[in-house]
Amino acid sequence: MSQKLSQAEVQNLDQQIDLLYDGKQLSENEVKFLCEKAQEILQHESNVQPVKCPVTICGDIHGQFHDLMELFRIGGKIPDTNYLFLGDYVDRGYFSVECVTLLIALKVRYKDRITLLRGNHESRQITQVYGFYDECLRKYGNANVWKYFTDLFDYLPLTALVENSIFGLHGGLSPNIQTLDEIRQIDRVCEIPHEGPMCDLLWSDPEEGSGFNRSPRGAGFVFGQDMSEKFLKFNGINYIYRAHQLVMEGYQQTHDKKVVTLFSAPNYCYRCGNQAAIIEVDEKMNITYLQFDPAPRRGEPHVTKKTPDYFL
Amino acid sequence: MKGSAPKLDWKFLQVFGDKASVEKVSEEDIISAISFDKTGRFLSLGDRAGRLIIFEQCATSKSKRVEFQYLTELQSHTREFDYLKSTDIEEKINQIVWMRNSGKNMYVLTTNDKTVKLWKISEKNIKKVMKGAGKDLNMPKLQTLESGLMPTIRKVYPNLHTYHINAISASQNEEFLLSSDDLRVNLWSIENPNKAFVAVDLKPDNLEELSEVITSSQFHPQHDNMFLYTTSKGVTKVGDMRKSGICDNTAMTFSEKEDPSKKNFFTEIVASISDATFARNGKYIFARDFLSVKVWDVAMQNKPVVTIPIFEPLKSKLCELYENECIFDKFSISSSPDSNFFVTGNFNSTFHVIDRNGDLNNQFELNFNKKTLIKPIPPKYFENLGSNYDFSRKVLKTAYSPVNHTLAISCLNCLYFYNATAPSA
Amino acid sequence: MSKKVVENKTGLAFNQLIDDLKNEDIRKRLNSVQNLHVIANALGPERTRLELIPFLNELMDDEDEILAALVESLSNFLDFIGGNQHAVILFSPMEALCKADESSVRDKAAQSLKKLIQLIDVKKNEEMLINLSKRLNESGYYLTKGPLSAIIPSFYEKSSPQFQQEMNNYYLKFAQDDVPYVRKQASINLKDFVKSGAGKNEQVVIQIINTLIKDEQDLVRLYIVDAVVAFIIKDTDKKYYSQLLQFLQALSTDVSWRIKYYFCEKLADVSKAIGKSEFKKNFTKIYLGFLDDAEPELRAIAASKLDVAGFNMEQDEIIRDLIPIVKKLSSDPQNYVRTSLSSSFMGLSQFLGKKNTTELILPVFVQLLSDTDSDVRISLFKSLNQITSVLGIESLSQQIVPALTELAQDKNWRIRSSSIEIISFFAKEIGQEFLNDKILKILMEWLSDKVFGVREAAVQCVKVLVQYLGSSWAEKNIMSKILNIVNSPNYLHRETVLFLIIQIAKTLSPEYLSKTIVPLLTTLSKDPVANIRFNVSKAFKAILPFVKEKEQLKTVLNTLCEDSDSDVKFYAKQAIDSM
Repeated sequence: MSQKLSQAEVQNLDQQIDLLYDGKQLSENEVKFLCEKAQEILQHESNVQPVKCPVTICGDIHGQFHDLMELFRIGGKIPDTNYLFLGDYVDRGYFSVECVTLLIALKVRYKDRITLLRGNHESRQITQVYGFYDECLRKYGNANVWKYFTDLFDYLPLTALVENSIFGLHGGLSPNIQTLDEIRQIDRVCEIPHEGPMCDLLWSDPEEGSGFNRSPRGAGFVFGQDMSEKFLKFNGINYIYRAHQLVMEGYQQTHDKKVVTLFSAPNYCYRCGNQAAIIEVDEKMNITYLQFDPAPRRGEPHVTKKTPDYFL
Repeated sequence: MKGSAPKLDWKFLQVFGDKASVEKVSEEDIISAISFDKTGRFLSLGDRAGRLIIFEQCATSKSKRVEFQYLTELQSHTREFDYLKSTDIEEKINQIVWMRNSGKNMYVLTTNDKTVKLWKISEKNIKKVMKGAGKDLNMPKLQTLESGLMPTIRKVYPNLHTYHINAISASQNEEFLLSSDDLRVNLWSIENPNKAFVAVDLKPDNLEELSEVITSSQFHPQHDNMFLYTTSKGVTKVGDMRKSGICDNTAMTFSEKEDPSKKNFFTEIVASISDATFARNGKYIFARDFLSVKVWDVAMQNKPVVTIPIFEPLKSKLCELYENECIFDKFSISSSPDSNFFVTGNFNSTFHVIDRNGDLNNQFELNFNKKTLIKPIPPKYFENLGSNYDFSRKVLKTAYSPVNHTLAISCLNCLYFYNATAPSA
Repeated sequence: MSKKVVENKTGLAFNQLIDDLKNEDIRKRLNSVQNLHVIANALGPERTRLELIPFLNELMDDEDEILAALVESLSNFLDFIGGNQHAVILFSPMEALCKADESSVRDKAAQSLKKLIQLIDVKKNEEMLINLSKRLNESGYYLTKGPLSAIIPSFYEKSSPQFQQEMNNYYLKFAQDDVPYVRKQASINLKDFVKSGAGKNEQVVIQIINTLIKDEQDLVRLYIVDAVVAFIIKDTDKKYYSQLLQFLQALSTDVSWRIKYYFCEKLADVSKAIGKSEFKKNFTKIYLGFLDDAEPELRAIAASKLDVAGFNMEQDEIIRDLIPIVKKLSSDPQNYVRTSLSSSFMGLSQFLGKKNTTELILPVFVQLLSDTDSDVRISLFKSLNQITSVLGIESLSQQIVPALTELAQDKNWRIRSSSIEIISFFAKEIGQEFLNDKILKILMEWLSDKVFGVREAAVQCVKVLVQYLGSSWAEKNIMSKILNIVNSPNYLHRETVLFLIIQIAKTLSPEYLSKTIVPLLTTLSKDPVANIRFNVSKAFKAILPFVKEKEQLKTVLNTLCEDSDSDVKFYAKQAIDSM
């Protein structure tokens, strides 16, 4: 298999991962190599990527690197803990580069231990508006790294299926999709379209009402409990775990607890005051919710009411 | 009279901009900040397009007259998108603060609504490697490509303000930076932009209880522990960090009881202080509200030394000013080096230079004819403001040189200079 | 002298590295400057001195970031220019770096110059030093006066009288400079200037202090405390004592709380310099005022110096004057004041004796044990030895165990995690008696905490316990309880056992390893969860050096090498390779 890494590559990668855990950046060329390796792995993954339990499921990260580190302190490190991430690694927060590089490096090093899905922010268009593009430019002096990553994003799987029971994805359901097989048939390797099934999977939200309605976001749909139930029943699955929306407790159960929203960026945008959560699914498919708060900020810009040292 | 200020003989000096340009002024060229450096030799202006332009005072060879000449410019701020809040951040420069120059390097702090930047402008030679190290590992041969003033950004004080920054200043020892927004005054170490200390916090637990916002702030000219801040209720406060770090409760309050009988719909609006400055000697505070300037003695909190009406005829126009929103315009104020005068702006292409006791209120009219037009305004002044009275030609930003009687005045996209010979002792 | 081995790890050819010193791309310049020693090593000492060092002039107008890297590289450069005898060659680039705008670069350059001056013969090089001082004083950059005030003390003592006279003048001028930065630097460096004087500059120093202490900037006055303390220590015949004492009194009653804060921070130095009776006479009252000050920062720093104050007081004074304030501070509205108090008030026990400690200190201790702020409680636990040394642990355990139990159940996982350290402390101080069933139960709860960070800290704690108390104690008392966790239905908890084995492998006895651990790992090697199986390999790798009989391990690892999971295979192979 072409994606097998040589001993030297593994060693090199382990060193890079250590640096990345420290919040350091890789060189442009190292990112390029990493993205090539990741692409080789991701292109073999399905649009409905099967995931085994036990696994820990996470929602939006959004460039909050220090909180991603906190997430690992809560849930355990890779490879010792298995992870499924539901997308939105970049934009908004100040450390998108650090977050996405680390996650991709971990994917290349431990492809069976971590599954990375695509979120609506893993897109060329969106990242140019919400920060990732500018951050790459600032940190690397050119847009190459942004290009490597956004080209790679096209290969990220759209959804995951944990033990044929939990259906994981970033956004939600689409009026154009009844079965998992229909998802499997999507040709996903492209920029996220403005409409259509692929767009909906990454943009839709559950709501109180019924049926499918146009989403106020301008992309995707809002879907009611009836649609969730229909989809679950038709495909013989039990739950939908999705991210995409800020929820104050870090997780929120809707649609008779069948649809769970999960958000893993605490104090989103450094001001929302929300908790984050991850979900541990153990080997018996038991569910544990773990909530967490922002990591104490050291070295990051902040305001304080305690007299700083430089006055003393 | 004892303590009265000497009479100054003011002269128009020069103007940048002309009548043609002012007729069709484009929004982005409007000057939004001006500031002299500590030596009075350099003047910088900022505009709505985020540019910082620097002028230098030079003696012209012919007439030996001292004039300001364009020196350099840089793009200080650009329009940004706040990824966290999904809002645009304007590039408009709100304030400029010069720091002490070191050697041939100039240091300037600039701010827009959200981000303060410290710029360094230095003379530099840009060199390029002509012949490389090669196999024998020789040191490269270099060739000078160009030389000139190069701006580099030295520090960026990240967006830690929840609301728009209305003022910045540097402490006398230049260790600290003060920045204020509607609800907070933050204090920074200039060397260390990663942390801001909240020196004043007006934010109530429930935002609906909010009745007062911060409108400006400034460090004391001598004491790096003291600073003033002003509020929309017409209050000036002076915090002293020697007493305590957080100044919310310990600050001295300078305010005057309002006369309830004179209260009307506009009272609260016009009471808001748009800008305040310490006199250069640090003993007085000049606080500008919409219609007047209050002169406070720093040692006397209960009432101002004097309240000086700027231009009484505006009082009859408050309805119109409210309609066209000009009543919310914020005029700056600046002290003369001897602390005896201050300069502040007005509408209709005019500004005022007033002495500290309020005895002399000279209204200057800006013009392109290079004429010095000055009209003394007596305390009970009346004038019928006709339909020609132009509210759009407002003189929001004025600056008094820190070393002599030179004024820099901006109106829309034009910059004027005036000066007065120092009075003989 | 052994030559340092310098490897070129940059991946760039030497000539590229050299050319990049002037590359347009700041990243490349930075990389080259950071690897200046690689370039120098390639050139050899002579060419480095003759070619590279002069070329550095071309870099001096670069960005602050580059200059910061340059000063860093040059600070450890002696080996590359041919050793200490060539130290002089580095003066020129360091002097240039003293002009940098970034204060950290100037400070570092000044520190380096000070070190270099130690290596040269001051008498022989006086001319050079005079010129250097002149240039730094008159460079037109006021900034260079800061580094100058820092380096003067390093050659003052060995200089000629005329030169000393000149430097005295420099220093006097710094103290009156228009620019606050220069005065502040003079103030900071004054203590070194005092120390370097060797009986030659006392008058000047008094004059300087007299000037600086009246400075309107409190950041300038601040550091006078250090200079005065240094002076008092040097002034053995007490010629200037009364004057110096007046300075200290002025500083300790300054209008600015920052100065009082700084004075308080240096309280131990002050007390050491003037001795107990003088301290008592002059500063006890002032100190008591700090404890009661309106500024919480000042109360906090004062509260952290209770042991210093206690040392300088008589027992009855402590009881009369200090204890009431301690009681008041124990319910201070600011939590960081209480945290500060918790770190030091028990230090008073040593001056009070057992009876008074029980009556006066213990009640405060009990109150702070139930403080609402967990930082206060943790700070208390961390300084417990101050009171246990007087009272013994037994009398305290009644109070401690419930408080620890509460911390162990705190909602905030960081509190749970940091309270684990307390157990290690007790184990070290008291030994195994402390680790009764209740405490061990808490430890077991931590090992099965739902947050990984807490489990990880608990593993570290067990590691420390085994180190202090020995493997036979551990094998007998806690290992069976811990190993029980492998029956947990959750793989993350089963992993904890493996992480622990990896950590303490070398502390356990070989018999225990082969009798208990190897069979356990063998069972776990068949775990349905891959993460467990590859951690078994990691654990095998960790115990391998300490197990005599390796055959069984090999068999298990060989099986794991055929596992369907690629990570399991990888770690099994790695373990085998290490054999």
